[in-house]
Amino acid sequence: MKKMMKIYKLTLALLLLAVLTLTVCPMQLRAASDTEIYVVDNANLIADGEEAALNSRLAEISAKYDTNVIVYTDSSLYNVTPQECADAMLDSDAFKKRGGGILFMVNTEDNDWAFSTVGTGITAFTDAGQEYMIGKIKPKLSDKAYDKAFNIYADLADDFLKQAATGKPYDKGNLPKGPFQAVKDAIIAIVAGFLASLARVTKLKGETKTVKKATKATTYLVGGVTLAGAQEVYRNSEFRPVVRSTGGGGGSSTHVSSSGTVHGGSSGKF
Amino acid sequence: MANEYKCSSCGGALEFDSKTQKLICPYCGAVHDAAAYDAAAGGAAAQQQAGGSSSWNMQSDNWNVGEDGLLTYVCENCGGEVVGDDTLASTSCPYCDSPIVRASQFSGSLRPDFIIPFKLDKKEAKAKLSRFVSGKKLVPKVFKDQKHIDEVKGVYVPFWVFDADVYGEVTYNATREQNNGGQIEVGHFDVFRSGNMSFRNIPIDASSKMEDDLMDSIEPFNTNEAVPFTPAYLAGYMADKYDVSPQEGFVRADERIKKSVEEAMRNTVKGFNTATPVASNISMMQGQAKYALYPVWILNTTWQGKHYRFAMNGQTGKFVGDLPYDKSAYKRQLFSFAGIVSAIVFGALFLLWLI
Repeated sequence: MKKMMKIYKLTLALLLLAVLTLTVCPMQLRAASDTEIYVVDNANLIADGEEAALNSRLAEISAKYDTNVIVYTDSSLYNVTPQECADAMLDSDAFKKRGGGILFMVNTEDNDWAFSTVGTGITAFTDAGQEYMIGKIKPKLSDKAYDKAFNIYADLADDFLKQAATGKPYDKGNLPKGPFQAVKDAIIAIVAGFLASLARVTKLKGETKTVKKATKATTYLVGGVTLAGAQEVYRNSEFRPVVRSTGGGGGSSTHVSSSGTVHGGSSGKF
Repeated sequence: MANEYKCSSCGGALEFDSKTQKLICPYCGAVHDAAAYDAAAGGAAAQQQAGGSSSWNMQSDNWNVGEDGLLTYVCENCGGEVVGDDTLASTSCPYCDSPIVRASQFSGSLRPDFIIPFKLDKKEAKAKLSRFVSGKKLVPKVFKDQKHIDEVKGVYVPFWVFDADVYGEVTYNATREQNNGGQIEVGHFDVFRSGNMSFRNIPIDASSKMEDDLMDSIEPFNTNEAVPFTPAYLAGYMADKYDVSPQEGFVRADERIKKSVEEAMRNTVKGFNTATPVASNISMMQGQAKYALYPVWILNTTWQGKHYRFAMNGQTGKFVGDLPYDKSAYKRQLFSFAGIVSAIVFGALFLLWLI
């Protein structure tokens, strides 16, 4: 009887946990069932072979840096925000094995993306770093080239974690440089060169014209102005907000998830 | 009456020398003081100056009016015929180069109040033109190398010189911005200024033969070096009497004065971010026009069928004139410099990427 009560209580607890978790992010439990899974493709965005290769790659990176690098996709978020969903997924037991990590979530229903970071992932993947990463990933998401997008994410995560291991994580003013963009830089150089040269020849052309009609007689003003009257009458004021500069410092901004864990992260649309 | 300035020693034609500010005989080297020469001549020229004749009598000064309206004069030195228009006041005989001054053009009310004598000579004017074009990269090389200048004339240009005492009132809509507890407070004010200003010796070209903008561009002249007029200063130079009335000249002077008053008043409005004039009242309290002759070197040249005129202030040496520019030199400069800057920018971008 006692044993029956125990099973009954455990079943009830598990059911309660399942209901609670489903209200936050419906597919969390599916991922939590296998700790070796680093790719949860509920939206079926990539082929099985691609998924297996990606999972292997993320598992290798995660093991190398003792962290979690995860991809999660779904076709609906069931009334939670992308950030809440990404946070809840990362908080699940399946990914608590290692100290922190990063999860990249894609929701195809509303074309959402979100990063969630936790623990050491908060330090490794700063706000500026995440902005840099999504800048590289988003074009592929928009093209629906999901496998390419996730592999870029894996490459960047590897690079970011390697950099974080040096003690100087990628951040504002210290972001990875891409390949030298010769064509883009050549266009910039040509436009800059042409504009500078145009300004110079315009000045040179102006030097050939020295005849100009005089419009003032200031040269012949003797003794300046003798003020006879000076009055300044206040009429009214208007107010406008101060426009603040957005060029702040780097680092990661954090928030607390529904489970009480401190997360970093960001989200948006593609 | 036409004066031919002859040397009392050898009878040669005297010329006013800008270096010594004296009348010099280029033949025997005799030197004469300009004012003293006119006074000592005591003849027709001096009589004309003192006579106060307010009208120009063409018959009495030995100039004949031709059918085409042009005036002719027979040079007393060589018998050659000199032709001029009714504003001609000083010239030289085209055959023997004798200076000829029509003193009657400057008698009575036509007499200038003062003159600024030439300080720089023809040689300096030519050298100045050479320096003027040499540094200009877009001026055609052929033009720079061209030694031929069609004409270099030393001309006493008639000017109306205005003095004016002015009272001005200007009202501005002004704004002042200040940070007030995280917000920008923009205060609106009515700003009023009134004041007095004095302008002295504003020169306005009084010859319709001279382009106003060319004459404006060689300003200013230093009136501290002005001397009372005497015809001897004109010997060896061209001169015209005015054919722009003082009333016409005043219109231009008034425009310039008004703009300067508005600018001077605006400079007294301080501590505001913006100040837009909404009303102004500028009135002349006292105005006076003087008649003066100012020294100007005029250089004419022709290039590719187009005429170019340059002017040099004969007192200060300020040289002006619109130059031709070479379109192929323009393109060459544009593309070569663009290529150099582009290469530097590209190299800098590559270095930035490497760092």
